[in-house]
Amino acid sequence: MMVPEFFQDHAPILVVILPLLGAFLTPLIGKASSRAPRYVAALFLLGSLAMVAVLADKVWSQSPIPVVYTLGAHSGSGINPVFRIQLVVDGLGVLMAIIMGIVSTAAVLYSWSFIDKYSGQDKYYTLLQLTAVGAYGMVLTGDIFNLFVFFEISSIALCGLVAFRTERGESFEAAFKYMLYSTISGVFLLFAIGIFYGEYGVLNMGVISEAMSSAGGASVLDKIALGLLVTVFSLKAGSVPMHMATPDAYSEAPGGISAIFVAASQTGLYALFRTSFTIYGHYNPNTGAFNLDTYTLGWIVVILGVLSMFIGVTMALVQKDIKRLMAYHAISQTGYMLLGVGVGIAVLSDPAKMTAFGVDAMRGGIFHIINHALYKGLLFLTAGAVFYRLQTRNLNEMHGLGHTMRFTTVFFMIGALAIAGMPPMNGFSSKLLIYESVYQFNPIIAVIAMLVSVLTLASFVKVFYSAFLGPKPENPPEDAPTSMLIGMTILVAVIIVFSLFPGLVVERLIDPAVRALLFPWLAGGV
Amino acid sequence: MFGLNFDIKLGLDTDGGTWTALLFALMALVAFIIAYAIRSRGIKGHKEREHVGEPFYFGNIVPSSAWVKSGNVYWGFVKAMERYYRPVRGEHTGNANDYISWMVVAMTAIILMVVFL
Repeated sequence: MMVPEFFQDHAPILVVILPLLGAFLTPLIGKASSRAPRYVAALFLLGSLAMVAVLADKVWSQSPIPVVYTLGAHSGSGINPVFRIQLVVDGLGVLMAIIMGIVSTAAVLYSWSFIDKYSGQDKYYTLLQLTAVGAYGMVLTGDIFNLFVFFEISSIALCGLVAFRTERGESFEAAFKYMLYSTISGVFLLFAIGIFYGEYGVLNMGVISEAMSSAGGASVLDKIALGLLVTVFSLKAGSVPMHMATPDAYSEAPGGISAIFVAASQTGLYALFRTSFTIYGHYNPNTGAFNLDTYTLGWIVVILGVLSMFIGVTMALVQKDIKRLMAYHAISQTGYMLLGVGVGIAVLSDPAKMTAFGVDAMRGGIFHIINHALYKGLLFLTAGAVFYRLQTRNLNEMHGLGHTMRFTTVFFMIGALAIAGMPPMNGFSSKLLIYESVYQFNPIIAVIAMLVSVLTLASFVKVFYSAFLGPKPENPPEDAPTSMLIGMTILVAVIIVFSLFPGLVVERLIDPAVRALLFPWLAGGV
Repeated sequence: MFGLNFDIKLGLDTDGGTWTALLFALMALVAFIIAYAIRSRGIKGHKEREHVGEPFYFGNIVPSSAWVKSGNVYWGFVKAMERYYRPVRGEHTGNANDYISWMVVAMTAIILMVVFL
């Protein structure tokens, strides 16, 4: 299939620009027709997904060398491109963009019915597209200040979406808490960026890592900046103990938004891995040293992962609100990703361990990112469908939905089996890689990870039993409307493909992302 | 486009061997076919009657209220883990001040570990 040269050349910026343009157009078109915003949002998000596909083809064809797109700079302008805004897209960035593309497309179609009875749909679709802009921007930029800008765009848009259902006081409370967390973490992120700029006078991540390397490695100030970055990005990802606002925000957000929330939160993981590997894990072949001995950093990430896994799942087990339960599971699953990649960070400076199990741990962690976005997105959509029909999220008030909501029940089962890591689902493949590699790093942690999987299954058995099994309700609800089922079907289809062909997915999608992290000379095209 | 050459890698190679999900799914399908074949040998003239298959509830129709609610599921587990759950649930106060306090505590601990370890 031939793609016009214009799209191939400008795909990185078009991925970001299209939903941004859509976000500006949506309120204008909403003045003419109240139903038009849904079509505008779907059109621009689909366009953006198409550009992600074009970009992915380009990135994979030249992996691990990243695609570098410099805004506003002609090659002969004489201005050093590192002082301009650069998009630097490698295997990891494009993987995150694919996640956002798939989930946002499913979420926008799902939202057509879900928010049909609400006023202010133009604002809803504007904010939804701005969330996508923020997430795409965060994973495609090579400049840490732009990463902050997109971080803020994503956080502010999500705050608006959490508070969208203005008839509920809890929505405002959840939005306030999330806004508080986001604002304070944004300030600390800016502080860390200020440290880099004060020390090195540049904001390009690749150039910062080079400058740090030339200065003989990370200084005390750089280490303080790292502490700030780890905290801020872990908070964005919803890691324990910075997870407190996550269950509130996930459970109060409209159904489709909870799914997109998962994908947007994972940009925090991306940023954490990007700074850990690209900036601090930079290897200087002349001195034979890394910018930082990443062993301590790796253990910090592993500890955050273990805490998230265990506290997330045990808190989920006692929830009675279906979405709050799933939100705690989102925290728990984030722990697996932190654990996998944390092991990779810890053994980065030990080539023998890296070869023995570090690479597989990173594979597992990164594979789990995309798996989690898919099945947790799906589970949130099924929970949204239940809420749409019953107007309650309380599991105590549900039973027997499987009698009439048959598609939703089957979709829930697929998502639940996947998140619990039951073979042959995709969650099993990524967890298998994590278990095997983490066992070689520390067997006790691997046992905890397996125990968490058992508790995850127990928790979803509880939801399945409470909501879908049991006597038929006196007023049995119909299944979810068609557009909501289409949104769920998209995610189910991708989950099934990922489940049946894990080797193909790891080879084509995950390995380029791992290679991108392990070649620290990437960012900035230095 | 996308470099697809249809040389599809089926298995996922790990340290312990190769995980082939397609084979697992195929085996599940075979098991399903065998189960279905056995089922099809059952009595053909069976008639569905009202309340067949429902739990016995003193001979009456099972009311919705007889259903064990979600809040009671895993009651024993939660009771046994009470010493764990009491402090952990207690920390999830819903108070934004506490949320920020935990963030500050975590940030301080991380910075100290990165700088001094």
